[in-house]
Amino acid sequence: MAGVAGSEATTISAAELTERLAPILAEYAGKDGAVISLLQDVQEEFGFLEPSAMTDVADALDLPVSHLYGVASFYSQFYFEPRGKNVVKVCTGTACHIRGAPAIQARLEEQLGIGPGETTADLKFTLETVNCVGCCALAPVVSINDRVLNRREQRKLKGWIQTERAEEPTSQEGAS
Amino acid sequence: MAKEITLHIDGQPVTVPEGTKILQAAESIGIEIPRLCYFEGLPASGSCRLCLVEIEGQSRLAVSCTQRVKEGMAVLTASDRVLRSRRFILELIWSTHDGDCTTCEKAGACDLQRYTYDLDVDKEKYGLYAPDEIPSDLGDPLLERNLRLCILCGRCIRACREKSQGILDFMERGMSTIVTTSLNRPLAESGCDFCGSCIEVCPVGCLVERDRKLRGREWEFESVETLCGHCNLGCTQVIDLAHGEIVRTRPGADGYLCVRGKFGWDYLSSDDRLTAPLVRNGDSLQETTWAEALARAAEGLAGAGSVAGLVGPNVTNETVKAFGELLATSFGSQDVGFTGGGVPFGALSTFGGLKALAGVGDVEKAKKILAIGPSLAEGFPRARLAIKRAVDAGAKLIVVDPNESELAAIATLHLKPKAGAEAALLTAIGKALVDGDLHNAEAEGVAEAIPAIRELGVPDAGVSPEAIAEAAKLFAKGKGVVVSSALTCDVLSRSAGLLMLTGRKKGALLPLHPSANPWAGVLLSAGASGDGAKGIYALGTDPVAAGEPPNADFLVVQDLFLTKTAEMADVVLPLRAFAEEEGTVVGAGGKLIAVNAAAPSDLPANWQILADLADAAGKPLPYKSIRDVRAAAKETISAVKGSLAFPSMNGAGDSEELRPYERFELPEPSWVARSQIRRGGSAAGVSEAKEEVAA
Repeated sequence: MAGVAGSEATTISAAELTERLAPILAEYAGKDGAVISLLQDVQEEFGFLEPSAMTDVADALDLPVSHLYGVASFYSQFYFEPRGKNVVKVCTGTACHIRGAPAIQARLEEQLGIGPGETTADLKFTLETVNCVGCCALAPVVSINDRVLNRREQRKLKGWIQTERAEEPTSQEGAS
Repeated sequence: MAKEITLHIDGQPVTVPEGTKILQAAESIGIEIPRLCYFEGLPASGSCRLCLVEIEGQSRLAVSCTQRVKEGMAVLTASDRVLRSRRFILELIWSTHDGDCTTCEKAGACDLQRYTYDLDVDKEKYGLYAPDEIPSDLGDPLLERNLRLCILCGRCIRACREKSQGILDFMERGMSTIVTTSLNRPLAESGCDFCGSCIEVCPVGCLVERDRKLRGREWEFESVETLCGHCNLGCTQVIDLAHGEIVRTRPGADGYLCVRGKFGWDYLSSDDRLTAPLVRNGDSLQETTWAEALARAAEGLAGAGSVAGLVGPNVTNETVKAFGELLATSFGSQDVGFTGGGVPFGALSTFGGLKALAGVGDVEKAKKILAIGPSLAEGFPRARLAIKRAVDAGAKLIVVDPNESELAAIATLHLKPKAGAEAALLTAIGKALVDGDLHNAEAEGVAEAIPAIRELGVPDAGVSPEAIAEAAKLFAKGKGVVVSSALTCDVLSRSAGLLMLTGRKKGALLPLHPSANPWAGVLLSAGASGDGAKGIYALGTDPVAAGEPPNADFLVVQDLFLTKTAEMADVVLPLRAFAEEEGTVVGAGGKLIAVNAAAPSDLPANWQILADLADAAGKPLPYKSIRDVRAAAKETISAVKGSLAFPSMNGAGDSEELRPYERFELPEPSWVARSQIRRGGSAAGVSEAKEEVAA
């Protein structure tokens, strides 16, 4: 369960949690077969499947929370730990591999100080590998927050990382 | 009556009710279809595919645990095609089952091992895929989860959902699938209540009790069934011995034990148990022979002039009877008091015949349940399960508890009385029943009670009149029970009053007590105080720990351990634990239930010790064997069981402080230190038929 190591730290108060969950729960109230859509909305709201939000959702659906995790852990789209402000994806598909993806991945790992699937302690960067982005003509592909970088932008990655890292954390980024 | 369906299985005709599954139809004529995910009593999932059978005329094999029988069906359970497919499935299971039957605890009782042998399966056909990351022990207390042996049958997931907290599920997918908790947290952080229901259904060695490890193989086990002694709900319990020592306990026919029944047996083999009599020599107690100790006890009690006896709630009827007889015959005392651990059981004798007592079966069948008291679900998990099952089947649940709780969350109505006002609330509900004409005017004793109840003022319980009226309306009709972990005299007598008003006289009241035989003392002893007695004999009870130190010139204590009271005693005698004694108890449903000596003991039987003491006093008991004591106990119980009546509803004194059952704390995550289970318990055994005294 590599991605399900469990971050216990939650900085959200019970009141805030209830307030942020209420519209999501209301939208799906009484609807059958809505677990996945509901979890997607929860992830959209919190950035990941916040453990206390999961407990509240389970209570609202009258399901054991283990059942929700059983569903969520099946899909790679769900995250169980907070993710960084910037999600950097390196494509490791065949075309990108041939065009040098392993070297790019290694360089990003070194510059960010994290491995694939991990998030930096300051919650600024998450590094992920993907199997194909669907634009192999642009290989090797790197994307930031789902925007594919061109070759010129890729060369400026190191500088971008330093700029982002130096930026003062805002409350949005969370204290860690 | 369901329609009957006739079909052929392996050429044999069989007729079963419509809706029966093929697997069960086969079982009814003695044909066992192999299965790994199916488990009787759990919902079928049809996922292991081992129970595939061939149905004539169908091109695909059918899953026999989920497919219903059809008229004229011809089923083959062991055709070449079926066997080929079964072998293939087992070969695949072996490709991820990192097991070694030579060292596995489950060897001999493992379904995978058995089918592998039966079908001559090639275990290594597909090699082994078991990456090192899969843990062989998740480090939980009490039980080991070895995921390298898990075959993903999902039985534990379903057992946990059906019987406990539902904390397990399949996580991840494909070859990475494992069965674990949310976020793979330790059991203790996942809401596990350690009932061990998952262990009982695991077909392989993935889930095993830590205590049994390396203590013996399954085929060496000697098993005796008895009653669990950790509360009065009467779950059957099987004690497994290997090489003369307890290595495991497991549920009997009921299929469920809570954490205390499942894991709380270590006190039986504790090194701190008293194994020899002790006598006082100045400031210290010294070990001595039985003859010396009994002579000292007999002499001391006889010389004290007036003698009183105290007996605890965790011994058999026979022990209580022989104890009372000993005091009467040998020491001329009628003064035998019963100590229930802070519970006013003496008062219960005014309270309702044994017939009125409910068992878990009555709760599960009830349509209306009034559950009173704090920590009910936590303290009595079997009661929680019974209530949950009833609610799932449509029962209305009224919870009386000042706090939020697991039961409150599933209640139709949750009443939160202010502290200590439970009894007042019950009185108010009773008055609401009468004022709303919801009571059963025909029921015995009701007509006489009504005028007084109409006169009553509504006591202030901190609950709104609307909620009280709703409770009265909810509870008024249908098969109803009151389950209470609050054991004050007030709460119990008001509960009885509510039942009387609604005309419920049988199987309706379930007081929950953390001992196996809380009624015996009430039924078998004269019920006295011990005030002023110069000699006191305390058997299976520790008044010092309960804050009521006995004041006597001569004190005899008979118990499992050197208790605080025993430390003060002049003579200390060892006691056989409940699980070590043959005899009977008065069970939760008011039934007389026989229990076995399931755990080994080197001590004489308790009644024998008492008889020997009578001999030492020169006034022998009229018993030659345990049969004689049993007959005498039964006679006494039969004589008094019908003479008890419901009390009236009126009366004041609602302020009595509740003394809730002390909550059982889960053991620390270090599995070695696991003896936090209350010492007072014991386990017993049921083997013989249950006799209904109440009927």
